[in-house]
Amino acid sequence: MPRWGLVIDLDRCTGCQACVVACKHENNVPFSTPAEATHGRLLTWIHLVPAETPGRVGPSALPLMCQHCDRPPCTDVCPTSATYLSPEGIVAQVYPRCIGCRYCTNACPYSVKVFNWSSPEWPGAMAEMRNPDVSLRPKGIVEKCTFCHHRLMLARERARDEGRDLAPDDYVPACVQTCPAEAMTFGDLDDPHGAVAALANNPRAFRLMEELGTKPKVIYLREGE
Amino acid sequence: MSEHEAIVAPILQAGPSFRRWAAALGAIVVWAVFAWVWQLTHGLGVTGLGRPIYWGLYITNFVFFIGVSHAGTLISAILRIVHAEWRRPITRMAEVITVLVLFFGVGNVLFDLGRPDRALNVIKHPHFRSPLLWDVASISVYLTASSIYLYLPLIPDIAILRERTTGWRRRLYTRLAVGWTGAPRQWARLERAISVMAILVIPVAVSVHTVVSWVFGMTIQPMWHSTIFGPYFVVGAIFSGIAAIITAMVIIRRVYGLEAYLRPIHFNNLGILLLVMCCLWFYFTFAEYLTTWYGQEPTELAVFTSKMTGPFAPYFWAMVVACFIVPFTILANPRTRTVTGTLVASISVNIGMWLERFTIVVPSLSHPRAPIHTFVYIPSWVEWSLMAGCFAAFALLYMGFTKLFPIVSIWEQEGTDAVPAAAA
Amino acid sequence: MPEPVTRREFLSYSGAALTGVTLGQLGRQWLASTTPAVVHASGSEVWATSVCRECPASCGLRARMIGGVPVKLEGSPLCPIGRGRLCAKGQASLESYFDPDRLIGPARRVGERGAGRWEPIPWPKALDLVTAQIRESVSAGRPGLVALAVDEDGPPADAWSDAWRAIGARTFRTPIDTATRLRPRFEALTGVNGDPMFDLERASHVLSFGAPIVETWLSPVWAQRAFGRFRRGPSRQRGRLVQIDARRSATARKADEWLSVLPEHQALLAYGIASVLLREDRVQRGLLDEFGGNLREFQRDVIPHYTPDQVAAATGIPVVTILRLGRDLADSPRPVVVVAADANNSLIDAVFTLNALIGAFDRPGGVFVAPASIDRRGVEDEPLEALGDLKPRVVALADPSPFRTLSASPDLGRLLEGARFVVSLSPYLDETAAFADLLLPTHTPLESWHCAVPAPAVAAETRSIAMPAVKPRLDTADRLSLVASIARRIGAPEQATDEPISTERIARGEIDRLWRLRRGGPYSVVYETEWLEQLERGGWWAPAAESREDFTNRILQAGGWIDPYFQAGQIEQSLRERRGLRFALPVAIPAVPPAKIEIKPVDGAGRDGFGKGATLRLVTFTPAVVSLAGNPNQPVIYELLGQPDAAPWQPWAELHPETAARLGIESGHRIRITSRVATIEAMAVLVEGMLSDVVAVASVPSVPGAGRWARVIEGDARSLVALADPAGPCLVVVARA
Ligand SMILES: Nc1nc2c(c(=O)[nH]1)N[C@H]1C(S)=C(S)[C@@H](COP(=O)(O)OP(=O)(O)OC[C@H]3O[C@@H](n4cnc5c(=O)[nH]c(N)nc54)[C@H](O)[C@@H]3O)O[C@H]1N2
Ligand SMILES: Nc1nc2c(c(=O)[nH]1)N[C@H]1C(S)=C(S)[C@@H](COP(=O)(O)OP(=O)(O)OC[C@H]3O[C@@H](n4cnc5c(=O)[nH]c(N)nc54)[C@H](O)[C@@H]3O)O[C@H]1N2
Ligand code: SF4
Ligand code: SF4
Ligand code: SF4
Ligand code: SF4
Ligand code: SF4
Ligand SMILES: [Mo]
Repeated sequence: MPRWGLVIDLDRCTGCQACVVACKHENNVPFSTPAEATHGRLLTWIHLVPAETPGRVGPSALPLMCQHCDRPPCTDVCPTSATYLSPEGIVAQVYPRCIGCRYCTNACPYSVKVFNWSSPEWPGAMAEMRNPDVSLRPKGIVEKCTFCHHRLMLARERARDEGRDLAPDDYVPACVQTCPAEAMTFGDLDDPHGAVAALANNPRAFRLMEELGTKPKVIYLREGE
Repeated sequence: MSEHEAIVAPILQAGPSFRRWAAALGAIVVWAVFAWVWQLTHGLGVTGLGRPIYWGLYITNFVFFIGVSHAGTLISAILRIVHAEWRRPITRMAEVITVLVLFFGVGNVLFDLGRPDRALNVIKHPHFRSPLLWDVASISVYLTASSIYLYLPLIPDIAILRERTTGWRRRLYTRLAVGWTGAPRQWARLERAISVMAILVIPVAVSVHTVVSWVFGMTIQPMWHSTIFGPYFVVGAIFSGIAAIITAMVIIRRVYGLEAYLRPIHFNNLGILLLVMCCLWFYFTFAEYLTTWYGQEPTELAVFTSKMTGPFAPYFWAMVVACFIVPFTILANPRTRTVTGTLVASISVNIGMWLERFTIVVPSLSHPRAPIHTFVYIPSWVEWSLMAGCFAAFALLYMGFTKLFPIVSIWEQEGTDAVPAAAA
Repeated sequence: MPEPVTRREFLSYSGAALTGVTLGQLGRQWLASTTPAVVHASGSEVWATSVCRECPASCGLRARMIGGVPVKLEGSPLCPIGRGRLCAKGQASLESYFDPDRLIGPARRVGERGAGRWEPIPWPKALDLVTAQIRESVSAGRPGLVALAVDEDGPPADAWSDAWRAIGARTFRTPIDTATRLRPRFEALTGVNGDPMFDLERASHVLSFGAPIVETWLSPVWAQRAFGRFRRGPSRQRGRLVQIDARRSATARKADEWLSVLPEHQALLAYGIASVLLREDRVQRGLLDEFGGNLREFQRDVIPHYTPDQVAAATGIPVVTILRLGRDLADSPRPVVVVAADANNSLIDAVFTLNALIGAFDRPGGVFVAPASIDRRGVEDEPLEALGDLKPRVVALADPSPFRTLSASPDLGRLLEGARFVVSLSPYLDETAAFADLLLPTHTPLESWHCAVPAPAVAAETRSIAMPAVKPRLDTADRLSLVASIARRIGAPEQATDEPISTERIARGEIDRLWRLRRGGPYSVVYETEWLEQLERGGWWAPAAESREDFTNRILQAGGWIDPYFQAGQIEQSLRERRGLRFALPVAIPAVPPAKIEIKPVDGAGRDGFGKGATLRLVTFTPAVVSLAGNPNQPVIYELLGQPDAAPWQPWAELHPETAARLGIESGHRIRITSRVATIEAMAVLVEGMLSDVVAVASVPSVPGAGRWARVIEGDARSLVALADPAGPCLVVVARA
């Protein structure tokens, strides 16, 4: 069984935010208003945060999304199992089950889960641009990066229809697909011949807040020589 | 029975001042209901919360109310077990606080849910590793136990009231008295039940506040992830519980003219108890903050500094003054350990303990480990309204209770020499 | 003569457009009644090819269509520019198609000009109106009619101008893409009449003079990808980047070394480095020995005037640093020097000179000439500056936001005010539309035919060509067909005989031309493109198609045409013909003193609440997520502003922490920036290491009339400089708001 993981090369990432737009459009993440944004109600499943690297000019941008921890502090605390670690290593969200207690948002040391503070709105015709593959979240519940899980399901379906196994390129999350600097690589961490596993062993590889024992499956490659 | 006329009389009549108060409090409650409906319609966006400050006033109130709930049961149970006979007139008022306030604790969690309509998912799809589920379990047990514990000693008093009333009240009291006749066998059974409950309720109460603290302590968030949170919260709970009783006692004493029952000795004794808890609280706080500071772990330190010198400093230092300096100065001196003195100390402690809950919940969330944008949390009118509504509803229900049941246990008064000579 | 409209007044006009009965509100009502809600959940998935028009890079894209409705834009894997990637702006353009504030059909002004009252009219009537006006103006004699066009390259843009000129109009075009601005200086040095192209991907060392490589430079998606590969290409050494930039731009953050230098000092520094190379004889001899041209004079001028000591004294950069910059450049195997396109001419000269000295011309990882089979510039269009004192009766605008994007001369305001009749051809209600008499809404890019010449980036000749990805959602028209209909009504001679022009016809015509060239083929995957190149290198052409029709279909399906065969050595060839390089001889540039930071009360007359502040130099920059050329009404873009430092939904200004401290400004404060002509507000961001006498302000389009989201931003950094005298640094006063 695959264990999905993502490598982000910070030496390549330019902080262009193409991944952020890709994710919002792909996953029907509603947009904010200025007032909402200043109150911490801007919803994004991936966003850029400043990251200091010793010896660099200044903080550079680090794309931060759910790290799909192998030992996720968020799932432990959920009283309803609305968030759980799937056998393939994706930390999933069951929207109809979530009671909106926001315990998981507070337990996540990466602060990557977001809450629907009000009913999401797409004015006028904009409602038509929503992706039918991804369910809409009502107000009052928590959401986050799913590694574009729906793309995995579609890819599996397609592979099954074509009577073949899932190929590595079949399943690529939206952010990875668009990244102009080609900074992101997605795949099976347990596949020893895969690109992701190789990059994960790069000497520049590190995981965010590794010391907390969360065992993230998003792996960053340090900027610099 | 007539020697306890002072206890029984207020139950049977309600004066104009009672009605005025009830009306005023009722208005606040109605406003709060409106605020809640508003919140249900528009979502939690009507609060001041946001990423990463996901919890605020509601959770502060939740912890505060659960803390206050330790007033009753724990105190009266412990004092009952150690046969501190002076406790007799105050057990009931304490136990009522416990039961009522628990509802508001639970209520605040409901206010805080994004989807209160799905609250039962906690039972339909329980996940046992979640401290919130432990909370649900322990609070339910605690609520049941303390309700029983409130009810059992009420039975003989209800029987007394049954004899003195007519109409609906009589029917109500008859049902609630469950055929109490005062037969020796009934007395024996009651005494045994009460003492079993008294013992049972103590570990339950301790567990409740321990588990509440674990909601925070089990996470790995800075200044939440603390091993002493269990005992620290329990101490804080008893501390605020005692303060709540003293405050209630002073009010009841004044309003219902129970000076004969609630005498300075009670305030002095409770004052000493409060003083002990005050010192314990200070000890825990000191230990907690010293170790954090000494460790100099950057994420912890960020929260620490925000409380010491940063934006949360006013709350933090107000808490220290209110929880330690004020009560300690008043209570350590026997001459100021008067009724007024303990009242001032108690009100101070209650404010301070609310601030303590606030400075535990909000600063940690305001300083997440991840370098994300954060903001200053200012609770909205909805949150303040619901908070006011909780206090108003509590007062209202408490008042209501005093109009239905004796707020001082009648039968327990009889077993002592505490019966005031004047009344006889 | 009445005072010309200033940019600020102009913006407030259009702000008024939204009060009263606006088309925006009207539009929403119409929309609700005419377009049924599209049910697409059950629809099947189709990918449609189109071209991104948010900037001149013209990346190929594919739209994921569910039941006929586009739900997501992705880069087309076949497009050689983006190779399946799309930048933030490109993806956000999906929001323009669905923009709830788009124009829904033709409309004519009722009431005062600029008051924003409109009445919908049918197309024939709209065309009658404009034809009548043009007839009148033509009979009144030239220059009766003026047409302003978008910054767009390719046959349709040229056809637009031709059509207008056919009916007697003078045509003007806004400034074109980055490389074009480098072109004249490149030609002066090398004699090549073509766009310089930087081979970033294969370079080993990049010295950048303010080039916003990972922001707006040249062709943004290409530049990002090239940067990624330059940095960490497979089986190659990590490329090293040195950024010379007044501010800590996103590119400076990525640099291995960032030197904060005022724009006016950068040419000095570049010549200083040149002098180090020459003095220490670290130049690459090959090309210079053969085509040295006036190298000797150049050397004679530069070495004594630009000694490291002198440059250090003028710029404040230590001598050792200048020496090291030169030596690092010379010691790297494949160095290249790049430059911001809006740099001054002497800096651009200095940069091409450095490239000549380090032997970067015609070398992998260096500078090439972009191949072109047609002249890409609408040569007969006049630059906007040439508007001068023109007083045309009729003005047609295909560029709805010249006040935003142009270094808007007051002439433009006078032009619009003086005109009898202003026609706006744009999909959106924006600032100039609000000032127009007639609105002729055109298709948005997803609804349009495309035939664009992408900004030069990849080493190949390319054309991004596509059919509409979707049917027009509203009652809009093809821009070119509109001009053709007008011309037909006027009875223009060319139009009378020919088949009516439209973007489709122009695009198909271009494909025919490409077919006749007998080279290149449809956009294709990397492997096939490389195969095509190998074939052509061997003198073969394998037509991808049997027939012309087939060829057309394949091009349209693939979204473009590419001829990957790339002839290096064009610079050398030109030098051979011209007998050598012609270096610009720099005179000893006097040191530019930094603007003194003065904390002083400023003459507050006419400026409300304006008190004390400091005089600083203004540097404006375009954030990577901001589009100069697209519809600004895209909410997702406003959310991304300033990440990761500043806050969303607002422009920001960068200051040195010490400067800020002296002004009592903290990070996150709102500050007011006042130039001679305008005042804007922005959020303060403190940046360690930037120059202390500079304030760098993000240029975020402020377009009050252009829809609910575009209205949010108040004050565009560009308005600070727009009307100021262009010469010399723009000084502004900064204070807490
Ligand atoms: N995100 C985005 N990208 C785009 C576009 C867009 O709309 N949005 N449009 C495209 C188009 S049409 C164009 S023309 C280009 C424009 O791209 P550029 O020509 O690169 O223009 P700017 O983005 O304004 O960046 C100019 C940079 O040059 C610096 N600078 C200013 N003056 C000087 C100087 O004298 N010397 C030096 N060395 N530096 C100086 C500024 O500080 C700034 O960092 O961008 C293209 N890319
Ligand atoms: N001060 C200052 N001024 C500048 C610059 C600067 O750096 N500083 N940069 C200059 C540069 S390089 C540029 S490129 C310009 C950019 O400026 P312009 O090219 O003038 O950009 P816009 O004014 O946005 O006009 C483009 C418009 O074309 C329309 N449009 C887009 N795609 C299509 C389509 O497919 N069909 C039709 N019919 N219409 C379409 C949209 O309405 C869009 O708003 O600004 C220039 N002005
Ligand atoms: S798209 Fe790629 S380069 Fe751009 S911010 Fe995201 S990860 Fe970085
Ligand atoms: S990053 Fe946060 S939300 Fe994601 S799995 Fe880890 S703890 Fe959970
Ligand atoms: S907010 Fe939802 S997912 Fe998170 S802990 Fe509560 S119920 Fe679980
Ligand atoms: S993997 Fe998918 S859901 Fe996660 S950040 Fe990327 S685009 Fe968003
Ligand atoms: S670089 Fe320009 S053309 Fe390419 S996707 Fe971005 S905005 Fe569109
Ligand atoms: Mo441009």
